[in-house]
Amino acid sequence: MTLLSVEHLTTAFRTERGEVTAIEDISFTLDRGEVMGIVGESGSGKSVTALAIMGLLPMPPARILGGSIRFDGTDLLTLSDKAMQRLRGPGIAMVFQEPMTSLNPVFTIGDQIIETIKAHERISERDAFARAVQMLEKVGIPSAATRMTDYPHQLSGGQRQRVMLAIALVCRPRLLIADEPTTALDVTIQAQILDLILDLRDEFGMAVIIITHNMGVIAETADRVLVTYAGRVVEQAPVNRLFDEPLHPYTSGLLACVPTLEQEQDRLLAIPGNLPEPARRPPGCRFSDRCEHAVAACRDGLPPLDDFGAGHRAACIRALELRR
Amino acid sequence: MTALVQAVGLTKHFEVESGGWLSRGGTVLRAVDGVDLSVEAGETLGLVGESGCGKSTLGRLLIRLMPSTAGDILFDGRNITALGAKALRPVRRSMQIVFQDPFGALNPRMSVEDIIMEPLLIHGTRAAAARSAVGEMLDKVGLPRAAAERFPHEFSGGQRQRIGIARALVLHPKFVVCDEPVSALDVSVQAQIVNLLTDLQAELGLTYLFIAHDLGVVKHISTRVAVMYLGKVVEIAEKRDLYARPLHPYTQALLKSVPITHPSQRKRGAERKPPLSGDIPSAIAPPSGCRFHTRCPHVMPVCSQQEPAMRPGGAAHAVACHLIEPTPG
Repeated sequence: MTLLSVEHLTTAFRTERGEVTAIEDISFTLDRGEVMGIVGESGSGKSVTALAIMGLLPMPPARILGGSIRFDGTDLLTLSDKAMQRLRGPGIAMVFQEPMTSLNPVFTIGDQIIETIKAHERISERDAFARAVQMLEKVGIPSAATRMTDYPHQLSGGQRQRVMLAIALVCRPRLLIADEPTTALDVTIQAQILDLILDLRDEFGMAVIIITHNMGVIAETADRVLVTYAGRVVEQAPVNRLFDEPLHPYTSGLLACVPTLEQEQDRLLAIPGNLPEPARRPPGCRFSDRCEHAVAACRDGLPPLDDFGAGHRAACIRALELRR
Repeated sequence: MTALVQAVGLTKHFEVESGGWLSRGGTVLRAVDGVDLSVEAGETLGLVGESGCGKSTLGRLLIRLMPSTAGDILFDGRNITALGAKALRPVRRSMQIVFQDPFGALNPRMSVEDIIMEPLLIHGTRAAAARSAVGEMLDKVGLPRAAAERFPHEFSGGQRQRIGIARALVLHPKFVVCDEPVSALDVSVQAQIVNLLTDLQAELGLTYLFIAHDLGVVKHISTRVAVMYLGKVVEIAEKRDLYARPLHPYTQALLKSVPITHPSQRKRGAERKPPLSGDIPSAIAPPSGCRFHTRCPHVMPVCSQQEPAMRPGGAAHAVACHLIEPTPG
């Protein structure tokens, strides 16, 4: 059952060099209990997509130029601020990359969890306290009751991210958006946090959007994947298909350029060049100036996101030819 | 093989005041606590461990960027631990560092030329000669010569890291500490910088200490790998041996924590449980005995009582764990 459907979403930001688009024509759907991975590097628009769904884009400088976001049948772009605020928490919740700056340093973690519960429910202080402790236990904070009075600076990075998850999940959201939830963490803690998100998905049946630049995180968690580059979706596919048969040269490049524990090679396969700034995107396919397969036609126009069957789409005019 | 850099019982304790205003005296954070390590000439020694394990501090101690609390540092066979600023200066030419954050490590008010030639000027090269050296360095790190006139903010993260590498190498050092040189970069750019570091090593005969938390990158670039935990080196081996046959339970857990590379390797149910639970303990009050015993799946009574000494675990492989029988004598 479709929980979230984003269609042709396009947003822009006002900058010194004029208005530039952050994301263009992004479309995807997400079912209940499903984990969607969004892959992208800096400037790909993945975080802007998340903020747009949350209704948290700063407007201005941001502006939504077109498209729709439907959550459980409601068009989020037409909701009032107040209605949107009611939806955040029990409807959609988000965890950010920086657990230090996302927590308020002058309130205890207990206060911050209780505040979230009380913003959405009529509940006594005592019940809210009990729920908060329960949630902290669930996310794996040891001796949760005594940690309720701790301030964020008294916790380690991994524990702060657990607290962020507790705040996000305490109202049992139907959709959790995790924006680079483990990027600032060590691999040992990353494994714990990803495991926790999947456990909570199994328990509450919530849908998850996990935003990352790490293909390993995608391999561990996602059911379906959206690969974004310079503001556009370049490929989308079920996770196994994406890893077995990537159709866009950027996806293949991302999969090949990260050294793994299994393979050994003298040189890494590098993608040449750098990510284009929004105001300096090349004409036509935005990956064309870094693509080893680019031909003149690639610069003529934006390649359409073609359907290759079985939920696999790619925006590359040479995809079929290169597949062999 | 001869050791270019050696640490003997190297220790760094930071005084921290975390006891509040009622407590007396400083508390000591044991960032690096008695490390014996040698970096062989021409090799890349990978150094891995969780944040807070002391790997960056160890890197800075080895090139005397910060004073050590105890122990000795030998460079090219010479003890440099107590050298004064003047005596140290010629040695400094031979030891450089590339930092993690290409945004914070470059002075935004200096042109790229000024940034790269500053080390030369400090070490007494004339301006004209320094300027021509900058051009050569830009070629070497793959930046256009026109970059010299520009300022750091005009460059992307990967290009800035190339500038940082040019600055580190312009004095023709023998030993370079690479402190997480690619972890702040976009994934699609990381491989370029790793390849560049490899090429420059071959061209200039460099010796690297490569500090990183990405075990894939470390495996790719290293000759040997050392694993640190709470201020101690707990295992060191030739890289293939370490990755194929990790002996320390901590090394085993670290390797198991690395994300899978294909969704078909996904584990379900109890199999999925992460290999390590909880966080790294505080270096202010490290656990007794083996520092890893509070998180170790194979903990024995002896582990909390006695600190395991480094012992051989095969050819060119050493490990500090009670599970491995120490060889007598």
